[in-house]
Amino acid sequence: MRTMSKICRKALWAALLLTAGCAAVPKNQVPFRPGATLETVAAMVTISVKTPQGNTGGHGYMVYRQPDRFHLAMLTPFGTTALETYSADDRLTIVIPSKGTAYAGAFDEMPDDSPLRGWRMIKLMAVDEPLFDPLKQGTSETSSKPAGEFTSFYDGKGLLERKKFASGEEVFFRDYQSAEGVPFPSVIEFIDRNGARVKITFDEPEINKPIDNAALVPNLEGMTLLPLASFRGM
Amino acid sequence: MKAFFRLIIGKCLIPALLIMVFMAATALAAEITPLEGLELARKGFAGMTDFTAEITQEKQIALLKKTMTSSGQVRFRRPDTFYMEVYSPYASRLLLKDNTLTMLLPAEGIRQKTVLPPEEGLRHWFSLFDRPVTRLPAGVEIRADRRGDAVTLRIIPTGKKGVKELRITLFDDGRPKRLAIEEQNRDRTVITFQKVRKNVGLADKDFRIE
Repeated sequence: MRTMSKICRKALWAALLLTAGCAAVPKNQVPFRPGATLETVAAMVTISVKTPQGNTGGHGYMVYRQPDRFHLAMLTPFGTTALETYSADDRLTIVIPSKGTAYAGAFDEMPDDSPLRGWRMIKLMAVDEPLFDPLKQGTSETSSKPAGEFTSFYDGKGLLERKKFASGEEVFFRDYQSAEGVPFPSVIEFIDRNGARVKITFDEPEINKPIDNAALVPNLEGMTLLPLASFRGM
Repeated sequence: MKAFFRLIIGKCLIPALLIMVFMAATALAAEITPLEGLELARKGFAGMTDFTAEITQEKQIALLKKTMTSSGQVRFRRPDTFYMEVYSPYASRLLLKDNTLTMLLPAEGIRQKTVLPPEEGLRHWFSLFDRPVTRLPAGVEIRADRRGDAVTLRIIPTGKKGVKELRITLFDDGRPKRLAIEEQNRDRTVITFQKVRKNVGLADKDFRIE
């Protein structure tokens, strides 16, 4: 009887240890799927913008849909919306909800001294080629697209790690994670030829999930609309 | 007999007690005039030179159907100094000295300074609490209610910009309890204050951003 009790106790301990062990093992990521492309992203983000004129940054969220639609909201430390940007193609709209004001125009109309000048590089994030191709391990290839001529560099696994544009800008893709097989870089950093750096760190990204059109189009009802060229900051 | 008493206690007394507690809590919530509400808040705040608190911030993002939850701490010292630190994963520090706002993103090494218009500075806002409230501020609708030892002020800007409603709950002695901010875009942020300690003698060293 005593032996039975000992066996039961040992079995219980073994089961407990096994359960604890299972809990501690991280959930396996789905392996990267070759050829998978990025259609949509919705994520919390941390942005830092460092330019020779000064630095800025904050926490917020971003919504992206192929080929080039972005909505970024930056939050105040109190959690309220400080600023929103919407971009599509070469157009940018900046919304400042607390002032009821919006600025709209082409990226190129943004003044050189604007703190968001570096933000024009966001369109370089739009990637329509697969981020993972095992056949491209350690290689580079040059392409010509509407965004300009650029060279893509792949790491030893075949993940896109850098794009260098003929115009001087560079985009780095780092810390890949698998979203059900779709490779997604947790950090994207842009550097322009003038030394401006924009770094986006993604948190809890939702990849390739449906996104409402309303999330990508600014609601300008009741807003005072001004030209982008007049935007000088908050 | 024991079973009978257990039945009485379990099925009747405890539910009755819960109902009474619930009714007492709701019955104590009484709408008061906005001026009374502001004056209660002012009087509570009058005896406070500083406070510290731990906070929990919940930001509901309507667009993403997600909630960002973070924690941190706040410190305030009369007449015009406020410090707020939010811990990782959305780490940030903010120091507001009257109308000079300094923000730090420690992980990113970003530090930025903004000077707000004087009328948006802390000194201006808290000077409104120096004398009895006799009229309501312009541009906002205010509603107030009192529940137990706390007063809640609902401040509703009349315009359509940014904040749709701000709801702050303060204890009678001025200690903050809860702040809810609802925006026009349906986002909502709730900051809950815990372990609030007042008049602890905060010094300049408690308001260093790094």
